[in-house]
Amino acid sequence: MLVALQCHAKQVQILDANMFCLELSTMSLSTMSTRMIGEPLSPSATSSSDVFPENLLFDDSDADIILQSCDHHEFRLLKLHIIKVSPVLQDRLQSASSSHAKNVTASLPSIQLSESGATLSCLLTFILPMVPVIPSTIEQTMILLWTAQKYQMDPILSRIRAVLTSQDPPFIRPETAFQVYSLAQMYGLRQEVLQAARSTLSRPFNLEEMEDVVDTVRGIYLHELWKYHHRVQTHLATDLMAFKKSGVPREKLGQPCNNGTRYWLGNYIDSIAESPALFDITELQMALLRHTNARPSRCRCADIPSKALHAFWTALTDVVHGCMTKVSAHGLRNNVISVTARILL
Amino acid sequence: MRPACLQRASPLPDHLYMSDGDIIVQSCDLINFRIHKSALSLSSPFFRDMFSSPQPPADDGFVNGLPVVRLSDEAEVLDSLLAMLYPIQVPSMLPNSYDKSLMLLAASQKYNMFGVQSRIRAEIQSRKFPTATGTAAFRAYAIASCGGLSSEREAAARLTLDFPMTFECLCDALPLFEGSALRDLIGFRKRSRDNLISCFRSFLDLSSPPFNIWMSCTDSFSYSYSNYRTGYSPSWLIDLFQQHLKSLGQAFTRPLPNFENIREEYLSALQEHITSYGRTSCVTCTKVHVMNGEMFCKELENKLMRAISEVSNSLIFQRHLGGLRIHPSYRYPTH
Repeated sequence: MLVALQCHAKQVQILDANMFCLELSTMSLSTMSTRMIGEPLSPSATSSSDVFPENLLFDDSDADIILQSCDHHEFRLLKLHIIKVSPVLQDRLQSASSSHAKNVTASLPSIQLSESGATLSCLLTFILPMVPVIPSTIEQTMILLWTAQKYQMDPILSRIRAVLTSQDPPFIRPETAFQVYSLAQMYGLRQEVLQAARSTLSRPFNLEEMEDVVDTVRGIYLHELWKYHHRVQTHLATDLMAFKKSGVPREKLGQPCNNGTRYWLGNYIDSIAESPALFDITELQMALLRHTNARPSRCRCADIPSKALHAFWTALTDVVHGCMTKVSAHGLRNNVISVTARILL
Repeated sequence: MRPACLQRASPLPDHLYMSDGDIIVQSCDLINFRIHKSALSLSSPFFRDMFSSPQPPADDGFVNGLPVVRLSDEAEVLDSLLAMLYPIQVPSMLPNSYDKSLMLLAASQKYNMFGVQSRIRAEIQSRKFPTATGTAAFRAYAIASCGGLSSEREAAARLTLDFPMTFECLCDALPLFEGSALRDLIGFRKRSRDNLISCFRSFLDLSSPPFNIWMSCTDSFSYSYSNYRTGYSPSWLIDLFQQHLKSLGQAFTRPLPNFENIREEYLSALQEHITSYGRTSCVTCTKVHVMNGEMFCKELENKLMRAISEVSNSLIFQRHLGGLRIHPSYRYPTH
């Protein structure tokens, strides 16, 4: 109660997020709604590993609808909250309300959903004015996204994605990319498929170095991912060749080496097309270092100002990112649609 | 839910259709097989249990007035499987490739058709399949792995060592991989590579038997590989082992050395040695080869075979009763 009073006194910022959410579990939704309306949401979300979302009680005293999870949790809510965010559930609520009108013995109209209590709890924290709760595992998080997508909760989906993007470390990063990619394919989450596929580009894509990740990706999706990498490499080869010939490298880095060429830079640019994982400023600096160390006399390349090197890197980044975006746009779409269709069937 | 399966591009010619059959078995590519329920029950506890329990009525549960059992297998597999339930005299019910035969074996395992399974295994053992391509070898492994065929999985894993393990080589086999099968195969290849590296490194110690037979070679005072050499040894033999050690550094982009090829490689290296540098012959090595060459080759083969078989035994999977070895003619073409 002390914590709740502190919330009411707008001292949320001094509370530990975990403590705040634990307190949520002992408060009714109506109390929570009253106290939190108009207050900005906490910029950071908390994880369900700290909170156990199924313990969050959604028991609004003014509730006019019950959502039931597949594992028999009940969420008593105001219909308004749901119909505003989901056209799919709006339709189901209408039919549930009409059936309820014929069955006067039931307390409130209810909808049976196929999601678990944990997933629905997390989802509701994004629908209602509460601190959003992200599930603790990647798989549960993907189910949360899928659920929001399934019920066409577009604004909620955007909010979940925004929270995931702002996490530190990011939700989709090289270490999680393969698992996220596979799950996103399975659940038809196109945006995550593209982001995760792109994130996998920063890792070497050969089986010898993928022992630790291949069991997180189903073979069919790994096949798609391989084709995606192949397409990226093909596009990179073309675009980087054009970049090399464009004169931009000379413009950014100045005159070439003493021997009239800057072959080390050309080799480095070519290597990116063969292995996009080498697109890393450290790799560029290493290539430069190897070159200058290998020269018997002092090479002009050793005097390239760091500002010029960064200007070159920015230009190269534009080319590489532009290429990746181009591939993403027409690469994985067909597969995702087919997977989505399979799930919907 | 109906399993996702592609529509057949062309109809299956002469598939099993018993005119007095009392049940329709439908493949995932929508080919109907009219057979006898009793034949299925007799051969498969799976179907016996299915038929003995009441089935829920289905709107589309009948074809030509006969009940339909819809299976997730392709027509080609079902045609062979169901034909084996009848005493039909045909040359062979097996598909003409090893990986497809494994699909048949996996289907028999799935439906607990143990008698049929034994027959398929026996036929696979006696059949000479065409030489496998890389993709087919990986496909065979994926099918055996997915179908719980432990012996075949181990054999197929060994078979994949004869090909590079790259995405290009796996290609169309990749979608067949499920769960941890691919990770296990990567681990298997790494362990095989490491064992072979140890084995070839041990060969470089030519001061101990059986390698010390070459110590009297006139060319044996070459110190080009002194890092590895602890005794006097002919450089032609060292070169051979060094080449393998070098290629093992690219164990995923190249096939792994095979113990069955080592004899040929040894003979080729020896031949080159004794006729090189304008000499007509290295008499010492020729003598050693005549006296002990056969024993030496066998020793090499045994050591290399042991290096691989030790790894094979460490594949993690549930072992099933029954065993199978890939017919040598499948792994190595007979000319």
